[in-house]
Amino acid sequence: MPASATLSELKTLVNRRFGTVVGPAPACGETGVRRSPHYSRLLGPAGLPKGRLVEIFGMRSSGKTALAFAALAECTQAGELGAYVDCSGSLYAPAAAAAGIDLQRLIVVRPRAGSDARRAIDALVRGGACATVVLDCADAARLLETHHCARLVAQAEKTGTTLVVISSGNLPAVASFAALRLRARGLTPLWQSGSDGGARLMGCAAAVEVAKARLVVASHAAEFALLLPDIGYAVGPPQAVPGPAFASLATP
Amino acid sequence: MRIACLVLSQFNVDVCLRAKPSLRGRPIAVAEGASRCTIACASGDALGVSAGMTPKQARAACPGLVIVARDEVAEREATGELLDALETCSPIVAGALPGMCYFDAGNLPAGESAALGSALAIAAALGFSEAAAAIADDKFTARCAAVAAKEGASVVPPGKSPAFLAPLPVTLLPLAPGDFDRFELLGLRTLGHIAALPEGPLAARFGERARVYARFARGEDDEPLLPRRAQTMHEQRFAFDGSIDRLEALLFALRGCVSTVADRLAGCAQACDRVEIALEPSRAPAGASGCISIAVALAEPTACAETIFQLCRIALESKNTLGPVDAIAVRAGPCSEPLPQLALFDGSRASRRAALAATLARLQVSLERERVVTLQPTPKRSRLPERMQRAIPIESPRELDDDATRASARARQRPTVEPLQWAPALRLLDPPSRIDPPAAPALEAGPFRLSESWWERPVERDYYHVVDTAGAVLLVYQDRRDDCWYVQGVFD
Repeated sequence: MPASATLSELKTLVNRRFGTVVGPAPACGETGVRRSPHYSRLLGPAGLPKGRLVEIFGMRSSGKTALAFAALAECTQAGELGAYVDCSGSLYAPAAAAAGIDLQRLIVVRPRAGSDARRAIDALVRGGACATVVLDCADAARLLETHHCARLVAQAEKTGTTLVVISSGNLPAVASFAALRLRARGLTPLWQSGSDGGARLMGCAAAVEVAKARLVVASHAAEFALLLPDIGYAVGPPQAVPGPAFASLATP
Repeated sequence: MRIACLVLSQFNVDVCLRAKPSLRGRPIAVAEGASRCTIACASGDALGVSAGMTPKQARAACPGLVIVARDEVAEREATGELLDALETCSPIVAGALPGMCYFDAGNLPAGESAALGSALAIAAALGFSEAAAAIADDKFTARCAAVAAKEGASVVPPGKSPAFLAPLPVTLLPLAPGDFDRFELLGLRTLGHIAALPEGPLAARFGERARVYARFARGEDDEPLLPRRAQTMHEQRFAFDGSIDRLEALLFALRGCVSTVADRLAGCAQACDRVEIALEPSRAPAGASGCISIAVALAEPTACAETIFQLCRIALESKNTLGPVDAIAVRAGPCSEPLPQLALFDGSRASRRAALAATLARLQVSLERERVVTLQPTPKRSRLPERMQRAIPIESPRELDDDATRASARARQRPTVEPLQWAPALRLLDPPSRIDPPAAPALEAGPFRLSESWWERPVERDYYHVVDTAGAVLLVYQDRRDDCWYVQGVFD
C-alpha cells in the first residue's frame, strides 16, 4: 500500500477485502429506518429477534461492544427508545454517538452493585418502554443466575423488548436462555500509514460468528470492517482532535 | 385601592441564619450559581462585599467572611411562613420576589399605620432583621416607598403617588438591559423626569417599554393584587391496632391510603408529582419528629391510584431497615402541571409515555436519581476523553418522548436511506489503570500529544494506540508529568 494513500482509497481497499462496508440497505423498505447491512448479512433481513434474550460475548477487545452499539443505533434511529445498563461505567458517549446511537433516546443506568443492575434491568424490561435494552456485564461475573434469566426472558417476550447481554462468555445461565448467541472473535486493527512515517488507526476488522440461534438460521461467521468516523469527536483523541490542542508527533 | 408592601432587604442572609444560628454575629455572604460562583447577598457587617462578586473577591474584601450556599427550599418555606403570618393583617396577601410581599391595605379596621406596625412585628418575630413596609395607591409606589424607607414604616397619602415618586431614581423601574445607560445619555435620572415627558418621543426610543416606564413613573401601576393560592395537601392516615412489622400488612394499609388520596386528587381534577409516605415507629409518639418519611417522586403528574401505589410499594420494599410501625400516612400535594391526556387506544403515544414514566419512576425509586441519565458528548468542553461526556439526570419522560416523536417524523421525511456504518467502540476506563511501559514495537500509532488545563490542573499526555500481547487494541497514554503509563480505553 502506498504511504500517500488517501482515506477513500483505503476504504475502497477495505471494501474489496471485507465486502460492502457502505452498501445498499436491505429490508429497510420505505420505512425510512437506517439498517445495518452487517446484521442482515449475518442474521437475515429481520435482524436481531424482538422480545428475546440475545447474548454477545467475547474476550476483551473482541468487538462485542461494537455489535451492541449497532443494535442500539438501529433501535434509536428507528425512533424507538433504547437503554444501556452500564455496570462497569465504561460507556463512552462520543464512541456511542460515532456508532450512530442517538443519545437523546438512550437511557443510561449506572448501577452501584449487581443487585442494583438486576433491579434496573428488570424495571427496563418489564416497563416495555424501551425496544432494546443492553446489559453490559462484561466485567461482572455471575450477575445473572438461572432464576433471573427465566424471569427476564418471560418479561421480554411479554413486552417485546430485545434484551442484549454483553458478556465475556462466563454466564452459563444467559447462554442457556439466550435465543441467539453471537461470538465476537476479535479485532484486527487497520493501520493507515502517514506521510510522516507514523501510523494512524483507521479502524478494525471484526470477526463474528453465530454460536447459537433458536429463531433464525444459524448461518455462518462473517467479517466486518469497523471504521473510525471522520467526525469531530470520534473514538479516542488522536482522530478526535484535529485542532492545535492535539498535534501529531513523529513516532520516536 | 390601597396596597401595602413589605420588603426584607436581608432575606437571603436571614434565611441562612434561621437555619444556622451559630453564624449570627459573623459576616456572611450568600452565594448562588452552579458552583457557588456569584455572591447574591451579604450581611450588613460584611464590609466591602457586594452582589455579583466572586467568592475570592469577597474573601479578599472582607477577611473572615463566611460564604454559604443559597437554599431555595428554605427560602420558599420562609416565604410561606411569612405569608401565613401576614394573613393576620389582611385577608389578601401575595408573595412576589424572595423577600418581598404585598397585602391589601384597604378598609383596615385598625388603620394603615397599625397594619404596617403589625407587619414589621411579624417580620421581626420570624427572624428577619431589616424590614421596611409602606402603603400606597399601587404596587409599584408601595414597593418604591418601602425600598426608599430602608427600615421602618412609610405611608404615601392617597393621590400623592406622582409627587412621591418624582425625586426617586430611575433604577427603581424594572429596566431592560441597556436602558439605564440610555436614560443616562438622555439626562433622565429621576422618575419625575420620565413622568414629565410625552409618551410619543419616549416610545420612539424605548418602544413598548416606554409605556410601562411612564405608567410606573406617574404612579399608575394598575396591576391588581392577586391573592396566593392555598396549598391543599391531601393526607390519609391509617393507625394499626398494634405494632406491625410485616411488609404485607403495611402494603395493605398503604393501598387503602393511596386509593383515598388518589380519589381526592381526581375529585379536585388535580394530579400530583410527589408523594410522601410517613411511617410512625412503635416507640415514637404520633406526630413526633421520629416519623420515618419516604419521598416518592413520580415521573409524570398523575392521579392514578395503581401507579402511585406501585411506586410507593417499590419505595417501601427498597427500605430494608424498617422496624415495627404503629401507623402509616400518605400525603400528596397537587402540582401545577395539568393532567396528561387520556389514552384512547393501547399503543398510543400517551400510553407509551405512561410506560416510560412508570419505567423511569421505578428506576429512580430503586436507584439514585443521578444514576439514571442520558449521556451527551461535550467535545468543546475538553479534549480529555474522561471529560468529553456529561451525564444529565432524566427529570421527565417528556425529554425522551418528544425527541423520539420528532426523530421519527424526520426519519419519515428522509427520502433516501443510508445504511448505518459500524465503528469500533471505545470502552473507557475511568480512572485510567496504570501499566508498565509497553515495549516500543507495541506502540503502533502515536504519540499524539494532549496538553490542556495549564491554568488549573495541568495535563500533559502522549497518547498511543497499542496492541497488547493478548491482541487487544488499547488506547494508552504516557503522563508527561510523572512519566507513568496508563490505559485509558479498550477498543471493543
